[in-house]
Amino acid sequence: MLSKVFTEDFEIKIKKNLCCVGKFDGVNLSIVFVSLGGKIYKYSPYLRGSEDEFIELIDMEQEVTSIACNQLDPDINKDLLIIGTKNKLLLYDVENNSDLFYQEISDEITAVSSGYVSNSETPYILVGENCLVQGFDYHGDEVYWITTGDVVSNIVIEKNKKEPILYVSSEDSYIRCFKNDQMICEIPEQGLITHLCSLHHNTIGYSLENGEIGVYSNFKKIWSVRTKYTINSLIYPKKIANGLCIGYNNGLIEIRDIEDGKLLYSNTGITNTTTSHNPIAGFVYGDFSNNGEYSLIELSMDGKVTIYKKTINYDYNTDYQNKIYECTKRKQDLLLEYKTLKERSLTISSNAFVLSKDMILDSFATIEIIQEFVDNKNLIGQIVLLITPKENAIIEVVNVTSDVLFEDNTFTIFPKVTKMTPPYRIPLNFVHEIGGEILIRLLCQIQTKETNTNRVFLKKQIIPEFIMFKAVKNLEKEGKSNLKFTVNSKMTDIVWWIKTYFLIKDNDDLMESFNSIRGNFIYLLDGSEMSINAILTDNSNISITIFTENLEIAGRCFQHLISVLEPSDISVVLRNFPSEKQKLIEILSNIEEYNVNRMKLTSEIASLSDQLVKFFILAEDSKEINDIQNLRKGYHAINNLNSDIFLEYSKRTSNHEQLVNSLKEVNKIIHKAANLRFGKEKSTIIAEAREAIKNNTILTLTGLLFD
Amino acid sequence: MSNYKIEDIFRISSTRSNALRVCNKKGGKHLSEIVVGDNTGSIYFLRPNRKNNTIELTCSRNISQPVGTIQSYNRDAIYISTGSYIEEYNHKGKKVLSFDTNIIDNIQAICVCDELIIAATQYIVSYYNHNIEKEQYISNDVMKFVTFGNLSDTEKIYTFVACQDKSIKILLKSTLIYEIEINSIPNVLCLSTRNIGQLFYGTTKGEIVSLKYENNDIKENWRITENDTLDSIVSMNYYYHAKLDLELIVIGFESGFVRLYHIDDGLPKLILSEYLQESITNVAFAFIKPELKLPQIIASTFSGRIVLIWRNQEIVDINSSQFYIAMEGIDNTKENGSDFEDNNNDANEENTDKIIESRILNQQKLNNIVKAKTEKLKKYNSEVNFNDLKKQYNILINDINTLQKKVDNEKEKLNSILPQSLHLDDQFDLFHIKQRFELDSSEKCYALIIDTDIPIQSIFFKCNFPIVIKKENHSDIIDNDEIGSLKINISSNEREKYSYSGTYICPPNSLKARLQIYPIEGKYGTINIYVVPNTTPPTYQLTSVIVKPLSLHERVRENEIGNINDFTNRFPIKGDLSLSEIQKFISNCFPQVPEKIHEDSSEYVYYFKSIVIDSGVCCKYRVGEIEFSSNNITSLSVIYEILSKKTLSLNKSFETFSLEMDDKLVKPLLLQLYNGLENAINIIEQHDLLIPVLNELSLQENGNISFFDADLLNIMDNHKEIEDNYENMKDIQIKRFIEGITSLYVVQKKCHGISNPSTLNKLIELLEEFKSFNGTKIDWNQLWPFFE
Repeated sequence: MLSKVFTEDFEIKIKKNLCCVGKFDGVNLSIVFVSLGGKIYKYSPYLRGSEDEFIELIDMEQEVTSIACNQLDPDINKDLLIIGTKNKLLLYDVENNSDLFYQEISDEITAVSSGYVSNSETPYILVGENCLVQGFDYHGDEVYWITTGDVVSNIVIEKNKKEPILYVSSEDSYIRCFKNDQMICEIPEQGLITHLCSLHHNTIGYSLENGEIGVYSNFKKIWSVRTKYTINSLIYPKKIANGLCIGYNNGLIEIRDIEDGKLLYSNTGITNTTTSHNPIAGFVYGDFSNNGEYSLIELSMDGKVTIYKKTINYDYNTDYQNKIYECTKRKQDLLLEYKTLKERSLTISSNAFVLSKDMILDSFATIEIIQEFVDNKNLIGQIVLLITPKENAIIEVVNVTSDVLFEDNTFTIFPKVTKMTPPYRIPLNFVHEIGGEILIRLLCQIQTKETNTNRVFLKKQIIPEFIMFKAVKNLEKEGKSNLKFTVNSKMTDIVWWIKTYFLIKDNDDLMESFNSIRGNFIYLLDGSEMSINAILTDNSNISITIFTENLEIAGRCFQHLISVLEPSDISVVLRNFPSEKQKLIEILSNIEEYNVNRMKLTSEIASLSDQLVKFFILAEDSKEINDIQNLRKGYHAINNLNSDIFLEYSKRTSNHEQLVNSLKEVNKIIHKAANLRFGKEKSTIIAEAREAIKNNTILTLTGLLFD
Repeated sequence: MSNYKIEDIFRISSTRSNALRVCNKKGGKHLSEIVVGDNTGSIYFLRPNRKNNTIELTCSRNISQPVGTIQSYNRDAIYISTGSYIEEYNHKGKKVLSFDTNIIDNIQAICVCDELIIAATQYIVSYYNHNIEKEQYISNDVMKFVTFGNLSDTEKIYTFVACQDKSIKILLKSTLIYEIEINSIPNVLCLSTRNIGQLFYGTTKGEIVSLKYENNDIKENWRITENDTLDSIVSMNYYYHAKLDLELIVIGFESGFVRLYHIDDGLPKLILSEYLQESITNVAFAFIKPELKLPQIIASTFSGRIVLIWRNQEIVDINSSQFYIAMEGIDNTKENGSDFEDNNNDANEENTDKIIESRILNQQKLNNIVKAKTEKLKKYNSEVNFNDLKKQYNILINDINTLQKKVDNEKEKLNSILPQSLHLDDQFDLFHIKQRFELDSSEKCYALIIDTDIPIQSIFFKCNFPIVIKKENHSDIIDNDEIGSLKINISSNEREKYSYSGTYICPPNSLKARLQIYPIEGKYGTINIYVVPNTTPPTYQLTSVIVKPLSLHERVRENEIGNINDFTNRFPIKGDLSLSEIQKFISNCFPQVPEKIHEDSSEYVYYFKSIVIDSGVCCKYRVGEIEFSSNNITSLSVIYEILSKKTLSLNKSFETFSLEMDDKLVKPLLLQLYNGLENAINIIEQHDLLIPVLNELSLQENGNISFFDADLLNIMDNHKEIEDNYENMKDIQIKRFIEGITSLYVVQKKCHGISNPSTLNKLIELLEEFKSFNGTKIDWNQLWPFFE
């Protein structure tokens, strides 16, 4: 599918994932990549042979964390380069060698991307930071601002101009999908997401730190495979192959079918070894020769640039023929399987009556999920899987698997080894607090009169979204903080929602009457209390009150309820969270303090360095005139000053750290508070809150978030 | 992807080695017939159908016992062994004859020649004349592979044996004609039909070697060693085309690779490598496709796939006396006449020019033909409407989906019946498992390979002694396989002392799981493995592998141990012991030792060598007497412990039963362990601390690192190697060395009569500090006083 055209060796170390391709002169494609240490280079294949073919553009003198390029200014028909370092964002005109704007970012920039968002006229520059994504236009004005759950690791925007979807992955292993500035979907994953790659509309490829590659289409996973090797790069070379191109750390290149993940190409030779062992730094793809012939360019970490072209003989026809051939084979296999299964079930059902009778078993064991308190005082608890085997069954192995709920997907218990006695209590530790399904697999030995048989017993168990909430009869006191809102929905729907998404074992746990329902819960992770109260009001709306001190829980319940019931009319009556409000005020005043401290510390360091220069001159002058005593004095002072500066500096860093943490807290609170809204209101509140922070008006901010 | 073709031609139940045979009829134009047997006891007679280019089943027979080996001479004399029986069939599947050999063991190889029948089991080669046993050869070690053929004397049938004790033996009847010692365990033998006396063998390490026997002497022709990452060789087949003087050899590897070599001018050249993702059981040459003149490869896998592999090939007549034959990877110009060959011998330059010229000419001709063919194909392709294909594909996908649903429904139905009826009479028939657990001395671990004929869903392990299980990772072989996820739990509590359990979730549709098990010397026991496949009804099988106490020793010959005179630590035992008891005990302690012994000579000797450090154990025994000697007192102490436990349970007493330690040997051993530990710690430190710093430095200097110290430059050069070793060093090697040092200490003190040395905790503390990698340099001067 791919054939190598030529390889160029630049003998520099190329940094992983830091490469992009653009028409910096408006006509021809050039590749830009970054070497370790922050030097940025440009390679232009169209200038082959000339001096400018390979040039160093700029030296950022600090680690570059990400680069991107796009045609940002509608008046100039060429691509501009966006460079993100630890705390700087730079827009750079490659052709004119000039900086267009320069923005200091207080947080670390972790990802940079560019594209059309929210029907804008020009593409935005999107910068991923700690818990937020900021958008700028080409003047450097902030035009976009959304919050996410953790440090952003990847940003990908769909290429189309109309309602593109923005995908943001963050270090809490979630992929969040935004349309305009509204989040439309949250996809949990089982590990750190290392790469994202937009495929078609609504389709995205991803890779994880543990070697998993997969594709989501319409927010549903369509396939995933796990490979042995570390993935360094993902690209979709549309005009070359209808597949996801994957570059590995061991030099392996694979192309996998977007629809089923089947391997279409790999660069292994006759002996099934890779042709090169150079780790792949990244791919770029485009029409470099300007004649409609697209090529894929591989950059390896040790500085080799290899150009691949689509193999001439390769065409989709043969591809389809192969597919058809394989499908026919698969069909035959299935037919055979069907036949044997049918035969089996026939022979068994004819014998079943004769054989069974005293051997009838409904099941070998009962499986239950229970919530129990570990710490009765603080009301902290856990979820426990309770397995009770029947007399004639010995459970050898218990294995529980789930797609997303557990770390590493699975865990196994050998009841015999751990000398457990039935009933077996197996604590379940979920990594994500979301609804899902777990598959319990019991390896049992069934003892009958004649023989012992080995059986595997499978059970699927639904884990409701709010499993960590244990229903209790009554709570000690009603919390002060609450969220009150009305929806036009049926009472039965509300009851159904509670019964489905909370683990309700006993109907007595809920207080139900013909026009109201009340559920009291204890959040098992921190022992806090939460209750949901729904009452039918006069104008046939339902008024719901969520009592909880925890802003996040209130937001979660609210968002989940409206997403499930989809009521046409929602109005929030009251958002009363005095403690959170107080917390926010405290944090904001802290931030102010940190800012003041920062100024003070900076000036102190400046004055110290002034003194340093003074003493240095003194010392050097004394050296000239052979005044050893003053020389000593001078350097002694310098030594002292030096350690002072060190001290000041460490103060400054800790201050800065606290500042960053506080900012993160504020972002989180805004994120949570926004969850108490819905639809348009939700995105406006974020924008307004951002404005308030900019203007440093604490009162407006707190007033905005909590009324 | 390479342009060779691969096609699944038939599917049966799980197969084993030697259970597939191709019957080629005399005369080139006829197609081959295939006889294959599986583990459920069915024998299938297959033959190609010329009309629709498929394989059809002539007939199948059921013998209810797993098929042992199949041998055929022509299409009507097919001999099949099951258990101790040999049965003869004709090509239509009719049983002609049945003969009971009365051997207790399973027959692994048979040879029938007129009235003579030879049958070989693991230990015995038995010769029958007119169905009466005449002679027997008894081997004192396991025979891995037996084959029969001619030597210089073409009248007689010689028996070629690949033996576990790293030797190849040539027998004539029951007398040993020749024995050659080789340096690894041979697994497969294959005889050349071009040169009588030439034979090939494949080893468990993946080496392929060609030998030539002449005048009571064996010479090595060539050897291929580059396949060491491909696992053991399980099957080989040889093909010789006399007219073309074309020699081909096909090799099947345990790992699932099939490789075809062309022997060109007496040297092998790899021309095809195919990966089948399952264990190969048999490979053979056969003529199945009528349009192809050169043989195709037939391979069978453990799960019962029978696969045909071939490459594009052409035979072009250039003129009446000269024709050209080519398969991709091979090109041969051959003359029909003999005059050319004579000139060849003179090495006439003019003639070679001519040959080259004609070769170029022929190459051009071939290229033209290939070109024309591809053009034709292209034209055909463009004529086929793309949309038609798409439609066809979509219809197929729909069909598959509906079928899948049907299958799922049927499964559901079956599952709903089954729990009530427990109709699970033959659960072992639901699926077959093959497990292999072998010492890999280069990786210093055991390879555990589990094969099944139904996709494995997951595997669970448990054991109660320390080991480390890892996913196998060959660094340079890319098999594009998906990998499962492995999760390990280690817990130690007071009741159970130690428990190690693991879960391996296999990727979908894998018939094979490969894992590496790293034992620690002296820690032994059984690992229980629960294999759960995707069967209906769901079931599992429990298998187990045994990690022997001295698992990190490999069996060697005397000359492979250099310092045999240094083995002055002794452990002599005298008492009431029979030979079989001793043999059993030794095979329980060391790997690669046969369980049984047949011969009855006066004294036996085994030599073992540790694969971690330079130490060994020598073990001499005769009836009522064993003497172990070693330069490593710890190894002897392990044996001592086990034997004393055993004798306690058997209630036996011995005249002599004591461990004699030579104090002189403690220091060299400790030094070795110390150096090993130091080396391992160095590698970890270099990896964790030094290399990142060096990289940064080299970057700042723009890659100009010539000012570095030679040592540092060396480290930079070996960067990759260090990277590769790092994981193993950190997890396993350090553990092994530390364990080695502590047990040496305990044993030393014990031999001096101190059973609970007071300074043991201090030593452990010291070693823990070394292990913590906090920059503490491991210090000989701190370590040695403990042993003085």
